[in-house]
Amino acid sequence: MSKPTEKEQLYSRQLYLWDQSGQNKIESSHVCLLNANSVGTEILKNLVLPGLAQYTLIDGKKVTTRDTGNNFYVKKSDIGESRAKVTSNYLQIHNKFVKGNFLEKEPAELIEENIEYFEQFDMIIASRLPEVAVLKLSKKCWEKDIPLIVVRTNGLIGYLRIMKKEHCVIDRKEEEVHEDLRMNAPFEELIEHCNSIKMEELDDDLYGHVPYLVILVKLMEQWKKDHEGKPPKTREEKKKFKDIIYNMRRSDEANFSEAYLNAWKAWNSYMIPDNIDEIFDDKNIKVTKESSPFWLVGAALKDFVANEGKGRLPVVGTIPDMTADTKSFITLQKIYQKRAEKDAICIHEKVKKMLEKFDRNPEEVPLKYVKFYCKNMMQVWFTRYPSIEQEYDPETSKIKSLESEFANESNNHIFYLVFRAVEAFNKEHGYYPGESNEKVESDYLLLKKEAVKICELYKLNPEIMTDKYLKGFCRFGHSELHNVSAFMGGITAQEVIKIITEQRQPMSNTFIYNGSKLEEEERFFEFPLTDFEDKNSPYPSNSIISSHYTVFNFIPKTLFEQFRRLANFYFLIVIILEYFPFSPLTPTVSVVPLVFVLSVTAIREAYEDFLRHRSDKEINNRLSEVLREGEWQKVFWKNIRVGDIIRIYGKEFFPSDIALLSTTEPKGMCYIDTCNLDGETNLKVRQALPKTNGLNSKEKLLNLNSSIACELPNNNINNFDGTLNLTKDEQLSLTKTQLLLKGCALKNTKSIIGVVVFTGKDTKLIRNSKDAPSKRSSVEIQLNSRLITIFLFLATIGIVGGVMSGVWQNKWENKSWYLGGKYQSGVTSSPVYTGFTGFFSFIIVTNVMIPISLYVTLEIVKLIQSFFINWDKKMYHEQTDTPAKARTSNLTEEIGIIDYIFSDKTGTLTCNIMEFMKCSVGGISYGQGITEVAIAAAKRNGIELKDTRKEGPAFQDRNFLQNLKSHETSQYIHEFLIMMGICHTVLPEADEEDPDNLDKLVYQAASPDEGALANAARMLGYKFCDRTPDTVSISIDNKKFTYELLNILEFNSTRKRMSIIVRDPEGQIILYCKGADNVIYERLNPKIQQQDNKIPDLTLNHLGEFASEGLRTLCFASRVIEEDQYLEWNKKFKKANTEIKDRKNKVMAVCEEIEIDLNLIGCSAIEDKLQDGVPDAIELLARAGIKIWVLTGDKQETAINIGFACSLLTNQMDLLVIEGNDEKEVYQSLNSLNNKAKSNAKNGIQNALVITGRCLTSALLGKNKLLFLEFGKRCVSVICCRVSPLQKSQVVDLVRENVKNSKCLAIGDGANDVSMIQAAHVGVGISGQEGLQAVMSSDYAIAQFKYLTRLLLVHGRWCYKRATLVILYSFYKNVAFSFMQILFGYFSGWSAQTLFPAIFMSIYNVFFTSLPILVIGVLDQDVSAKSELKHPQLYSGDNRNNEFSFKRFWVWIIEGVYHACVMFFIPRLFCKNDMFLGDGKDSGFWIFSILIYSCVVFVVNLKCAIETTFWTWMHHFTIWGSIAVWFIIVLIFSNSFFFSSDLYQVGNILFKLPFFWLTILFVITLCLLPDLLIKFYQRNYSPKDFQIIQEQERIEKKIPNRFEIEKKRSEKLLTKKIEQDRLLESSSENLLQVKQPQEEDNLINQKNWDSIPYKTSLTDSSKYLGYAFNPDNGGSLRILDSKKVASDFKEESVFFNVQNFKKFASLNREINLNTDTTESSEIDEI
Amino acid sequence: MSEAINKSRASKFKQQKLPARQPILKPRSVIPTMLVLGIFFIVMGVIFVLSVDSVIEVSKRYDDKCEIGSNCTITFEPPSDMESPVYFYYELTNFYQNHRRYVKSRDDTQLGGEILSYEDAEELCDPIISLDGEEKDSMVYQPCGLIVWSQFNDTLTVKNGDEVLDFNENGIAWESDIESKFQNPDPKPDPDSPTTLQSDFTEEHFVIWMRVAALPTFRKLYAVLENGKLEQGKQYSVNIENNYPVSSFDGQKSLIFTTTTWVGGKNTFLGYAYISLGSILFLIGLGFLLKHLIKPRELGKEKYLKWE
Repeated sequence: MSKPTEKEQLYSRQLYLWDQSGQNKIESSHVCLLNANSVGTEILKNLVLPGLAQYTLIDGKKVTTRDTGNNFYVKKSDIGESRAKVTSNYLQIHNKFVKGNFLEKEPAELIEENIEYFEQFDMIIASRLPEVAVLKLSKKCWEKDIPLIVVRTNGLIGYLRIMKKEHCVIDRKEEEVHEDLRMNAPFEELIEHCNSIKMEELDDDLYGHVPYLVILVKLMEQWKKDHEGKPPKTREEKKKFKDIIYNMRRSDEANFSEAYLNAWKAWNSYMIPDNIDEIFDDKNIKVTKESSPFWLVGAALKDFVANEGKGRLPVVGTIPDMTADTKSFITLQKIYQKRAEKDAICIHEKVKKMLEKFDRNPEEVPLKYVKFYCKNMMQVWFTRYPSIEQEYDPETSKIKSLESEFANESNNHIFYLVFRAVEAFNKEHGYYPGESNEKVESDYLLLKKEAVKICELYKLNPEIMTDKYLKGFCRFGHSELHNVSAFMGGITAQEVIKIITEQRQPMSNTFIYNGSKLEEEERFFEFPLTDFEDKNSPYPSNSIISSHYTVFNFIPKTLFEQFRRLANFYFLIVIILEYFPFSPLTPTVSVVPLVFVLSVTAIREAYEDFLRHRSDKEINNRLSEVLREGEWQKVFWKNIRVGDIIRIYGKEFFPSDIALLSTTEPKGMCYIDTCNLDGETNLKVRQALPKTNGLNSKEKLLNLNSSIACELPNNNINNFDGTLNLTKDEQLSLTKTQLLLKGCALKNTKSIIGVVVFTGKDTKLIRNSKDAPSKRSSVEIQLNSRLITIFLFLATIGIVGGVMSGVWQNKWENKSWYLGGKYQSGVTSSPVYTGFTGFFSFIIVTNVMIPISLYVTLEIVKLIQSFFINWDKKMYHEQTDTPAKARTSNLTEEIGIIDYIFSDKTGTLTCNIMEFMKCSVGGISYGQGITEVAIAAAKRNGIELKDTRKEGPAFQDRNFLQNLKSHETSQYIHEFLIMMGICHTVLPEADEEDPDNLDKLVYQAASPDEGALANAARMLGYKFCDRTPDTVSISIDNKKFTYELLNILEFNSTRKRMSIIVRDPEGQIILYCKGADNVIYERLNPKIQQQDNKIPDLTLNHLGEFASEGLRTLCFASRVIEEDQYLEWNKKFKKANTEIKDRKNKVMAVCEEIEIDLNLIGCSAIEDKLQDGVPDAIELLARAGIKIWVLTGDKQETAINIGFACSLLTNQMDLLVIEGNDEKEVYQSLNSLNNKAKSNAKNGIQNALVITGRCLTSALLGKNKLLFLEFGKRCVSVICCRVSPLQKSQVVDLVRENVKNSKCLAIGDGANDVSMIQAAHVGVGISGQEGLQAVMSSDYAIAQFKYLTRLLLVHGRWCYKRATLVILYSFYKNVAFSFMQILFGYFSGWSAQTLFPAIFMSIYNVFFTSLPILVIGVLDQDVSAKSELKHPQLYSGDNRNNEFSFKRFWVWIIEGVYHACVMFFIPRLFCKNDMFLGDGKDSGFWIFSILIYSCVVFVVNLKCAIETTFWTWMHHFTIWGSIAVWFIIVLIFSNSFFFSSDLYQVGNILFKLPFFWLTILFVITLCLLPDLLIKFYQRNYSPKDFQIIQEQERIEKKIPNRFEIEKKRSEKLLTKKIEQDRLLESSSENLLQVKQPQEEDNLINQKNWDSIPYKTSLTDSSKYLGYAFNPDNGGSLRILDSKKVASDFKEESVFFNVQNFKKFASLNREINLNTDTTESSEIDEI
Repeated sequence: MSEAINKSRASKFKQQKLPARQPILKPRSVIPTMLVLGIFFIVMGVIFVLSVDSVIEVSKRYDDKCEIGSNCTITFEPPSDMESPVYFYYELTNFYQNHRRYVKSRDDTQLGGEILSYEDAEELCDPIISLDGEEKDSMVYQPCGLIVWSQFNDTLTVKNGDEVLDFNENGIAWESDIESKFQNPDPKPDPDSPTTLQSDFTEEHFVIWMRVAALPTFRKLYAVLENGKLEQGKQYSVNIENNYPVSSFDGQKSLIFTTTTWVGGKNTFLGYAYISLGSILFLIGLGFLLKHLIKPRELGKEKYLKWE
């Protein structure tokens, strides 16, 4: 080899990038740069260095001071010199091979004068060239096909635009290219070659080195011969083909593995790659005289494919590496090369012909080019750029289509427009905006104009051009910043080289660089701190502010919040109107109620905020020990700062997020309680780094000079990446193991020392606490629309009143002299003015029509409803001491109209209490138990199964321990148990009293599965006893074995496995890995698998069986690692663990490397028990018409079985499973199954849908989405398995948004359900095993799934009915009240005189009509809770959505209007002659007014009375009380001048009159009669379901079945008794015994209670009272005084027939079961 | 713990188990109630009609027979004997005493005898505040306000031939009004002063006028014949000093002589309303009864449930 030339040495590095051909192109190109400014010279520098042939620099400017600041190629001494000359000289120094020219002329002028000058260049780069010049130049370049690149920078923003007609690239230098080896259609030479190899004759060595290509080709030929020339098509066939390969192996040859793996290539169908397709389809493929070689070859290639190639591209000629001996590989390679050559020549011939046809030189395109083309076929590529004219012309421009991008602030697209505006500005004004400092402001306005013009030109919304951008540009003032120039220079040069070398893909069109978007990516601070009072600290203070208000802003802020409510604002407007002189009412009338409403809310707010303030203060003023000024000082939490060294003692809380340095415990361990953060109650371990653990004294800490670099604050509590630089040279990685989070507490540890990392609002606790999305019930939303309706109604009244008052005034005002019109002060009003004020006057007079009290009433009602939920004893779970909790009172009525329930499975339908039940080890299955799921499954097939297990642990199998002792698989069992004992992250917590007893250790496990495994291992004698950071110990037969714990490869949902690497007591390094079956099977050692190892297959069968029994399975595998292999890997692992960015993925990748070649040991199966009462609850909910969708992360089999077990699925249903791998397949599957479901529905068969997470992803895409939904709606139950939390919420959203009026409820218990719970209309959390996250984000929290029935069917239904009644009634009563005003308007000259004294108008809603509806809203029950649960159909039947429909709303409004008419006109007609007082004296206005008001009070309250069906003393008290209050108040007014002289004596006179009472009676009758008649008719002749139930209840009550009562009462006592007796039961005597009752049972007179033998009681039972007890079946009976009973209840006495004794006993049991749900206290009220 | 919770929740209210009655509208209770109520209404109606029937009322319009400012006489003949007490009313129509501006244009404290300042009067008595609109306390009208200013000022005298009948013009206003609401100020307003609109605040016609009527057609008591009677067939005449103009607003003035019963004057509507409502009740009740007898619905039967 010759010595490399100087040039080669110089360019050696770049040759790697673009090889010699590229370099040649660079070295022969001549580039022109316009303007040698900062960015221009940077570009040129980057081109000079790689060795451009020559450049020409054109610049007419002189060097200025400004240049020296941003251009590296000028010096201060050069100021005043020609810039072109100076920079060119400096640039020249970089590379002597480059010829540099310069021209001292302004580029713009040159373009103007001599455009032809530019034709000589290969490429032109225009730096900051004015737009006009660019346009002109680009036209020329376009014409001559010279690439032109325009670069601009302004301040921190850069712009780059490439202009070239078309750019074709043959050598794209892509890394991954799939080459076509023609295995699926071998050419003749290849077949010939393959046939020449006789495999059978080869010796073993050669046999193992036959290239897989040959093997496959040969096999395929053979296959085709056997199968009529067809390649394998179906799955089976493909498998068969693969099996052939597999069976051909003599031993374990690598080439066969390759063949096996690459077998698909042999049958894969052929497709022309996309890039070639694109070329074939392009318009340029029709070659013309001018066509470039690229297109000529392209056309030839197309021709070749159509003819010679038979639809295929030519052979490429290279083959990839493969297992083969050198000889056969080269032979093979040659065959391919030859063929490629042949094809290339063929194409070259075609090209030649074309050239001849166009009279061009046939050798213009050399064969070399064609070959190159063919070789790089998979990479050839072209792009076209639009010309700049095209881009600027609004007709052809596509700028409009980018509008949304422009508007998106996170994009930089907008700067394109700003640059355009700036150039337009320059064209207009001759300078750039902001160039001179004085004109920045004025320039901004001018620039804005230009910007708007640009927007108008392209029909864009000018608002996208926010001032932010334009002002920014003006402030930049067309300055250049060197770093931006350097960056843009680099980018531009790179594109130039791409274009020159014709390699790689240049960017298409325009590039915008935004240098202002720099963000802090890392937090860095030093410690110990020196300045403790740094005011300029960039970190937030550690004080917590959870309060919303301060003393100063409280009033304005609450007022603002309150008046944002539409109704409150309305009342404010009314009050303002009342201040006008035309108002018929004084403001006080309205101010009082509004102030009341506002102050109630304000007081509540203030109190809540006070509590927050107090707790904030308490927290902020807690003390912690911080190392400051060389001493440990007590410092308030609020003053703790990032970088503080802090000491926390046991049981204290952490004041901020802290990186742990050292602890008092061995090995730097400490324990924390994270309950506050994630609700998990188990302790967690944190461990200090060994290097820092020694830092436990003041002196050592003070001598530190360290720093921490860590991630920015975020809300991920399970992750932390940081680096601790202990000294300058010593870097240690910090992970979440060292992070102590605010909100957690230190436990079981004396004290720790750490460094504060995040404070205040940066802490993960605060970052995680977000307000739950505020949900509004649909009733509330509907209420708003009803309010608007009412408002329109009100406005109509106002308009009518206004118009009429104008008309009346016009006609009568001047004539009615007694009104003194002409004496009125001020201007005599015109009718229009009167109409105008009349409008407002009538609005004011009738303003109560919008009920201000409604909100208050409704809120109180809802609050009490939610208390009822909290109080309900039947939703109280005694075992866990958890009552139900309504966490919001907003949604109480929403739970009455639920259509869909989305339920999690684990922990919701099941208990999430895990028990190790079965396992399969070494291919043998152990464990006898039968799960409920299995029982249910067997039941489906008509087989009754019984659990044969005895009491005790769930896992029972004698064989297991026997086989452990002596069996060929005993080693497996041993290893299996060891793994169960040590392969986990469980923490042992010693019993305080008996710390050495291993059986009393409490295993604190993060996942219940792990706890179950460790517990089971202990039971089987492998007792996990101790854990330190470096070791785990296990005690077997009282011998302690300690394993050195080398690494823990943690579990996460992506990995679906966890591993530990340990050194066993013998010193061997072993990796234990447990995880999901598919994950483990992928990583099994293929060699072992290929041997005669049946374990994987057997285990796979067992896995299937276990899953079908509803068990959760985990696979166990292990691997022995060589020492040096481990050490090498461990280095990588450690490195990955110290990465700051993307650590998680890097660590995962490293883990992947070691978790291979595993040996399968077996699998475990854990039972997840079904919760109490779930099947019944689901059945009830289904009967209530609610559709239940189960969304679970479990396997399909498990999910289906759980579905059956909890009666979600039944045998009668048609189970439809959606399948498919991509969108298309899923669509087909959906479509066909949907049709099937349709036909099923016609035939009365119920459908159930099952879908897995993978299909769900496709099912939620595009058109599938709605089809899936439609299908889902058609199915009774839907089960989605293997879904992610995100998918859960997507499914909820799908239904919520697409099914009209549907109300969704999501129920779950774990953190993975949070998204779903928040997405649904109502979220219910189960306070279960998995912590409290679900509960924290839910609206209702219950302890058990079964309580959901009561929550929905009882509370929900009642609440919905009550709330709607409250709303409708409130509207009604106010309409009835205010509508009379407009009627009276007619009789009072439309003067808006109020019919009632003003004071009575404002207290109408407070004193006379508020309480009854409140009581009804709180207490009303149309049917009892018992009936609601007995007839769940009531829930959907009459209930759903009808209660608050527009129709019903209008019925109530019209009723209000009707009542108003009756209540006004009847008294008017009755009082016609003003002389009903009896003594001839006239009555006058106020008598009339009070008479009508009395009617209102009676009618409105009695309307309330006929609406309720549930009369308690409270109803009586409030309804009659409200009426009484009216009389009392009127009498007070009548007897005192204090309030109003108008009413003096009115009540005294009026209430005495018979006439008054007769009028009231008549009005009440006339008002309520239609209502009652309709109600009566409807109830009797088209009764609603709930009415029938009411009647049933009534009938049951009416026949006071005392026997039933007695029976129940005795049952209640009996259940207790049975329990007691069961305990006492010792004799197995199968006799009936009469037992003595205890004292508490003395209900009925007792007779002789001496022990009476069974026979006596049989013969003479009439004499005795008491209990009989049958130990055989647990049944029991209380025998009453049978004579008495017999006389009272003739029929029932049959029970005392002894023959029926047994029957009754069993009946009794049933009843006991029933009473579980309906409970015994029901008896009391009967 | 759980015990405590159970105890704290034991109240029937908290468990929503308050004892309650749930009345149901059953035919067995509703139909009889309707029939009984119907009959009761009819009976009441008949009583009303009969009582009102005994009332004798004579009504004579006079504004169309008299020029304003003149004296004239209207004669009338009772259709039958009118036993005392016979009430003598004047009736105005199309007179909006209940107009908002009218109703509020008065000051009760002034009427109760207090001397009013101009500011107070301005606030309450607009637009009739002071003489010539002068803003002085002394110029405030006594009493002020539209109602006072527009007082009815016709004088009516009932005669039998030349004999003036003993119609009493005292004791016609509410006693409470005269006793406590209306008091003369001290000193009494000078009847000759142009600021005096009413010199005696307790004058009963005035007091009656001040009690505004509810509707635009109203009667006000003028006098009562406490002894004697108006006999059938006899001609009585009323001497009218016709001062009060009503024609401008299309109003009418009438004289009314009437007797009363316990339900007031001659108002037949009350009785007929009762009778009609009672009949409707009764008829519908009968209809329901028939329907119930022919095709009764069994109560609480499962078969009526929609899902059964």
